[in-house]
Amino acid sequence: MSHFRSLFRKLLTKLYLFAINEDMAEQRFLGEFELMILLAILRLENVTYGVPLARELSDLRGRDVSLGSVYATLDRLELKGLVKSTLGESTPERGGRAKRFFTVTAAGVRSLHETRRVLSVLWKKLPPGKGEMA
Amino acid sequence: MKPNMFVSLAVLLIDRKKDHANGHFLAGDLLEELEAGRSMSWFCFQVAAAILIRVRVLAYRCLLLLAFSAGWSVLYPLWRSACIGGLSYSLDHFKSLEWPWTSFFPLIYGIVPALLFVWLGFVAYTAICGSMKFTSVQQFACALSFSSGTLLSISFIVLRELRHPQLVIEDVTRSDFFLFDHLYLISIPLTLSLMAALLMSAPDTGGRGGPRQVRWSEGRRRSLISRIAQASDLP
Repeated sequence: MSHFRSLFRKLLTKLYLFAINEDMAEQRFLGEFELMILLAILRLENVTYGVPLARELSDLRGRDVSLGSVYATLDRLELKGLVKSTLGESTPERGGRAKRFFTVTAAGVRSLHETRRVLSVLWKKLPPGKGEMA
Repeated sequence: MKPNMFVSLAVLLIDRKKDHANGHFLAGDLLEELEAGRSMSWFCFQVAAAILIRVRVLAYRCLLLLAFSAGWSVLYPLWRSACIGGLSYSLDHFKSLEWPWTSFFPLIYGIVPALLFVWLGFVAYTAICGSMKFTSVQQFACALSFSSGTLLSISFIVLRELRHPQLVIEDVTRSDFFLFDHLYLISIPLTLSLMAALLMSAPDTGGRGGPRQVRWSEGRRRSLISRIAQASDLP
């Protein structure tokens, strides 16, 4: 019986560690394009759809952005729970198609701050002269 | 080709109304931008990029499902021995029986284990990826019946490719027909059947809704594990 209990405890420890590991995986940092999209949504009053978002990103980056890649990234962010989307109205110039509005969630804002904090620390810890532009 | 025709064709290519997928909104956005004065070359670039991204996502999904299906099919000998209980099946055993039993037994011992194996793989995948609640009963039934059809038709094609003299269902019901070590071409029906079921029903990995279910179930599982761990005085 005690052997069974110790076996159960070992198994539970492994599961628990696995759960902690999963928690850590969920807190992973944002990619470059993800970061840009989240910041652009926040700049646009935290409610926007594809067209203004792609324009904002194009302006910020100084080159055209593929709307397809914007939507693919937004989907990924939605899966992570960092943005949420709602359906908007359809207009004639869109061929009667509805808009999909995106909003950054509280988790998204937290993730942005966390990424910013880590990036700031990394920049501050860079040895003098190493981060200079050539 | 006239510009209007090209735009209609391009929109048709990227617009997928099913489940309000991204293509629908993307097509709307592109039309809105075109109306606002964007050039035709810009439109072409966007359409090409959207199609390439979609192809990449689909290819990734197909590869993922194929890998799972192939991996699952390798387990078939184990399943068969567990299912049949080590019974070595031979049609000769049933020749003494009268019709229709002579037809039922080959089905029961040959096809049913293979079908159950494929269906179990389908259920396992939908449970693992957390899409079970987002698959309707109709989708489930459709996927399973499609996989059954695929299993039988691919089996016959394999027999044909092997230049088998006669295409009879009894060959499919042989106990070693789907086994990997018998002839690994034979595992193709199982793999393709499972993949067909998953492609037909499992929500797109990039789709909306499904993965939220995964997050929810993971959260529940984590809290459950945490509660049990606390009860067991684990750190």
